[in-house]
Amino acid sequence: MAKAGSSPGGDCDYIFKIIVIGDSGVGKSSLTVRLSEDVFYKDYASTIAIDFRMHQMQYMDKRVRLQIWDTAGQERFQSVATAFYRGANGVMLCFDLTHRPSFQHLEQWVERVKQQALPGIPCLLIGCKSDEARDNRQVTNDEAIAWAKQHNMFFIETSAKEKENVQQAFQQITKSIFEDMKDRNGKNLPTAREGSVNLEGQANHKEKKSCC
Amino acid sequence: MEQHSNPFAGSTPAKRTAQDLEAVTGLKLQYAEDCFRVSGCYEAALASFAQSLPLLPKEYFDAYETVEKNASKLNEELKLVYQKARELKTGDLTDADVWKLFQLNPLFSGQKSASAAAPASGGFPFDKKQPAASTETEAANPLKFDTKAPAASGTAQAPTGFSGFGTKAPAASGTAPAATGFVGFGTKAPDTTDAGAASSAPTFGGFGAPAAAADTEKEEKKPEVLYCEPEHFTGPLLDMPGFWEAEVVERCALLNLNGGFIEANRDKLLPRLERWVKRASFYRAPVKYARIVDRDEEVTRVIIKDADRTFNAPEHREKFVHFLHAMYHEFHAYGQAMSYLAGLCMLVLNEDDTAAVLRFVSKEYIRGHWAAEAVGFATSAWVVHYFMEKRFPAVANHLMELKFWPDTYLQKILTGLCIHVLPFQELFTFLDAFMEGGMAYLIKFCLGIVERFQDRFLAIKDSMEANKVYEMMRLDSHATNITDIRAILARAPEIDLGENTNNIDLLRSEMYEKHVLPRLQRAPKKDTFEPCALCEKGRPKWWNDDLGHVCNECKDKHPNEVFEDF
Repeated sequence: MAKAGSSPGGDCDYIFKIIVIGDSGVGKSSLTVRLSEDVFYKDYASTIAIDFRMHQMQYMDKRVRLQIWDTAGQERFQSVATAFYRGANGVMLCFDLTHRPSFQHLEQWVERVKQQALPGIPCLLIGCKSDEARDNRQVTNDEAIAWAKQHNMFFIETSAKEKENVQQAFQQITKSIFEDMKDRNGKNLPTAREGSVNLEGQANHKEKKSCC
Repeated sequence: MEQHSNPFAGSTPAKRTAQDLEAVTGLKLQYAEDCFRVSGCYEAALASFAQSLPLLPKEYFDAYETVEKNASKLNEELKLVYQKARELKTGDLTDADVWKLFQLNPLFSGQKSASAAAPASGGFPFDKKQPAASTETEAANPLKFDTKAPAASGTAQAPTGFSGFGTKAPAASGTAPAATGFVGFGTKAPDTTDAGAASSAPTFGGFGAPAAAADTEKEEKKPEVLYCEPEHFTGPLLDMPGFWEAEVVERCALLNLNGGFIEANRDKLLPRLERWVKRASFYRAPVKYARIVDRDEEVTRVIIKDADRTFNAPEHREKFVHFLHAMYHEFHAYGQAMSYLAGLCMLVLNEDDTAAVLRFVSKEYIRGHWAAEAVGFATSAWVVHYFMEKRFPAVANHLMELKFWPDTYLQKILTGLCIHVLPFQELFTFLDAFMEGGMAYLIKFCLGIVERFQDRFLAIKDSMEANKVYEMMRLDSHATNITDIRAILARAPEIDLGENTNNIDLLRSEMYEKHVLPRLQRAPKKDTFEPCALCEKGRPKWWNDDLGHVCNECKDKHPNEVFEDF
């Protein structure tokens, strides 16, 4: 929706559209509500289709507005994907540290991103519910890092309940988007989906974390 | 008002007769009457006629060319008939039930008979698409009218057998109903698979036309269902000991916006919701409970998560899970918003009555909204946009210019039915009106919001302020207040949808084809891929300039080749 790299003026320098995806119940809404409203609801009602939130933040010396598209984990995307992914600048890929299947389903989510989003869109892997994981962890930190590395993205564990790493997660995806912008501006990377096939191989894994 | 009790919202009550069938088909009156008598109504008779046409002797006709002349109009009518049949043919309804619904609630009035319309000019649209039934049939029937009903799914099954005059054509469970057989013509009955998405997609490709891309995938992967007797309490939640304390006093998530309403209306709530049940009485039937075999199964897990996010106590959650699980198997689909209304109803209704309300709402009012891939919702959202263009063109155009699409901001109303949006006092006013007015009311409510805030919508300068659209459309407390909400509730029923009030189904079909279908056709399918260039089976993972795209297994067979990620 927002055009990355533009300088819209007003009260911010950049607007980034972030989409938050992952299995139902992993904590996507809790994460976004914690960021945008700084509250945690114990039993947040399930999200229908898409919800939308805004958050203003500072990154380096830039004022950044995040348009956060919080999705329903159950939705299949064919009918809503076009509007949803269109113009996205970054993806937050969430799973529940206390529920292994949500980690195992990450491949499917990445596949959807590859199909729908711009090639090379920056992604961030987020392991939610780190507070509950203290007693009931089903995905180790090492294997999550390994998965993230394999897919060329960073990994961070968060707890919306304890306000742990939430800001940092959004800072990280913002950082990745800035780096991606810089990278695209420098290399004139393709913007059509068709270009996604070889993009993964082109990316500099050490310097740029773009997943798809 | 009358239209709202009609599952064929938008239809007129006057019935067509055998004479109408005679006029539109050119059949001799004797055969038109036979067909009509066996079928029970014009709509079923028309479907039966269409299926049987290839094998009908010319002697059955007074004017054989009439069909061709009326082909365009017939296509339109058949399209609506099959669309409606597909939508209705879900759950426990038998084919006969569905066709009886047509008898009770005719889709067409006598005044709108195709025969009264000018004969269609040009060709017969079915002809070109149809495979010849047989050489013999072709000779007897140069129209080559195909007998297949529009497939609602790319996985459409083989047409079910059509066993002749007066018998009911069997149809696989979950398929659109086969029209009653007509005069022993021996043709095959139409067959369309439904799945959840089929009921949501108001599609019709014409006879023999390709199925909509939306339906090439089953809505849900269906596990084997083991039906069982319920082992839990199936009465109202408020009758359960401990419910009040655990859920009302401790305020479970469902009651986030209760605001003392339940406490003040504990005795009034049951009679209020019984009016909903009365409206849904046609759909009252025992719930068929299914054993939960795998709690990690995709949809079951979502249901369990939803229960956790609805009630506090394990026993209430478990009851909720068993009920929703049963409805999931009945509907062959589960959308999370379904749990919202189910939870509210179950407060005071038993599970059979709650099921009746859910069936009524999902089948008659918001078809296809409660599905994992909510095609029906997306379609309805564009219908709202259509009305917005008519009544508030400046706002509609402005939102489109800003690329705010209706299927991203109307879900809380069209699918969530304002639950978790409106305070309970206002919510139940909304739901009462919805139960009376169905989709038309939802559209009016959306327009009421637009009308109330049109200046604010127009003041949105660019996409930077996208949040304002969403905040207004979900009636966020920091963007709207209770005065706004009450004003919208008061205004909504008065909004006139104009001449299209009775054409919402038709509009859905148009909006689907215009806005949703193209997306579905463009969208990559989850499990669809071009197979490996070598084995032509596996999913390609690797690329080699000489070999092309290959799967893991074929890559391993060429250890000396250099591959890169595909």
